[in-house]
Amino acid sequence: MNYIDWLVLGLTLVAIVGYGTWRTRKQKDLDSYLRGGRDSKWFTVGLSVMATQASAITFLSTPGQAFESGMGFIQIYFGLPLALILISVFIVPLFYKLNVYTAYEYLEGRFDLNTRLLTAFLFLIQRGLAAGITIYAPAIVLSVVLGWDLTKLNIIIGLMVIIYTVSGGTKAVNITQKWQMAVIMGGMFFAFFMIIEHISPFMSFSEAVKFAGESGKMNLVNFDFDFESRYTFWSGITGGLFLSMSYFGTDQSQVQRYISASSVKESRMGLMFNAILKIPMQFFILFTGVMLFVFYQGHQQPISFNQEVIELVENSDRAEAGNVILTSYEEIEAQKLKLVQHSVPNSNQEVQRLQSAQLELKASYNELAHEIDEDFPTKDSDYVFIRFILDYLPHGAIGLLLAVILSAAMSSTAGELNALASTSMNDFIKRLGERKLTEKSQVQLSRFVTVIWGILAISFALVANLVDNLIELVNILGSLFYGTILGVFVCAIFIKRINARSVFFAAVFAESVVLLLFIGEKLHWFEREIGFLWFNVIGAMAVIILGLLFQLIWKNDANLYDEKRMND
Amino acid sequence: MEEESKTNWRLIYMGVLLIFIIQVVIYALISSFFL
Repeated sequence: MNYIDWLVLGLTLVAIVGYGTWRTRKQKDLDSYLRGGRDSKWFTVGLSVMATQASAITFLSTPGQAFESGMGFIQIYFGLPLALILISVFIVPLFYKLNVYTAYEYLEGRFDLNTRLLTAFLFLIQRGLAAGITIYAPAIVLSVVLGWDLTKLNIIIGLMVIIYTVSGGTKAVNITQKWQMAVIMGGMFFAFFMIIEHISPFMSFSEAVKFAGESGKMNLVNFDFDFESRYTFWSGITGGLFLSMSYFGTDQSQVQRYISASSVKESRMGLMFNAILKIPMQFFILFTGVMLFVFYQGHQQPISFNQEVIELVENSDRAEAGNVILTSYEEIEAQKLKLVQHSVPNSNQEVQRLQSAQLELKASYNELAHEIDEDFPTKDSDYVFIRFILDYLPHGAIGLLLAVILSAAMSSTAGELNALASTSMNDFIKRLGERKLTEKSQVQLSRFVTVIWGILAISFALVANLVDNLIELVNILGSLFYGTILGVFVCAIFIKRINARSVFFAAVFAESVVLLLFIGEKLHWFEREIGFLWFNVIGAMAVIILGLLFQLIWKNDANLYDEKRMND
Repeated sequence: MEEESKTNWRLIYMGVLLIFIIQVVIYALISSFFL
């Protein structure tokens, strides 16, 4: 990085944060602070929904995911269009009719206060932890490759988000997200064209796609009924549907985005914008990763993209064993580069054979690193894209791409903090507090709560220690709680006969079942692994089935309970 | 008026689903092409 990169990076971030803060400096009442005054147009809402979902992890980790395992990850988004249609039809009009601030507010009217508080509480735990990860994930990668201090980086990203989220609330989040999305997409297109440009001396675009396909990277759809595979068409269309339904329909960080639209129509249009564009966008990011794979066949590919793994081995007493592996790896690398760079005809199979041999050596090297320090994360897919940016992009562009990553981190963290604050404020402080607050003090209190959540998120980020692929981790964490929350909402909207007590206990049981299954899986209690997407289905179905069952058992009691509630 | 806006939404939703199905078909074709 040189001064041009710093200039581009600094100016982009300061401009976005400054603009967001300045445009929304006069937020006086709670409605404009927490719902942006309900005057956003569909385009702002659509981009804001997209920016909240697309965190820095999306741009760091997704290309790496495709680099390593191909494009099958796209199937996780297959349930999304249908989910957004269902939400547009059933949930959006409901939230507008009831004029709610949070999704959970609706549950009190339909069931009771306990159910509202339980779901809001599950949301706060899940999102509170996730907000820490959305700060930590890019910070760890940037700190490793740039040598920046991890703690300082966590604090800087967190503080920048806090500044405009606290000062301008929902409106500031929405309008900054629009600009952040523009920077993100601009930067990603630029990176993609630079990769193609670097491939072109030794391979045409169609040859590159053919090579990627032959190396098994273009495996977009898998129709096999395989319960253990993380990504198949079936897990995507069912688990992905449940995940998207819960995320967009019941997660306040998304609900808050689309209830800030000026009408049901604008809100629905914003969601449809995402239903159409989300999958092509993910396709593009994954495809960038696949092209990166082709790129690294003709350019020096390190044995680990995470330099720290190499340093760990080199500075240990196993350095000699490491060097033996490294020498064989580099010999193969030289042969491969010769074949690819000289475009030797009909050499694809030979290149793939060499690549497989390299993968085996890489696995042995990682195993060695694991033996030296078993807690050391050796997976390097999150580092692939950022290494390319730093090693091959011109100055100025490096600054722009770092601005992309930080913008993405900030936009999703801002959406999360904003939602955490409004849920704590509406569902707990305002609802349970005894004192009646003035409009002004409510806004002040909301600001204070946002700061507290911001500090908590930074603190989580500071203590986080992750091993799995980051983008998967966020989805796994979501899947543990989303199913139950979705189940409660499905009961509320579609199953009129279930009442408050049944749904409350069903939710508590369902959440325990999901958590037990997750712990069981981690401790290898079962012979087979459960793909995490299925937790969404299991949680939601458990709430519905147990809810109906409890309703049958407590039929008489429940009626009495309802009557008592009505009289209260 | 009410009826007309309902029909419009139905059309939009059908269009969104159709775009999704076309994408899956294209992706499936790409996958099978390289099998």
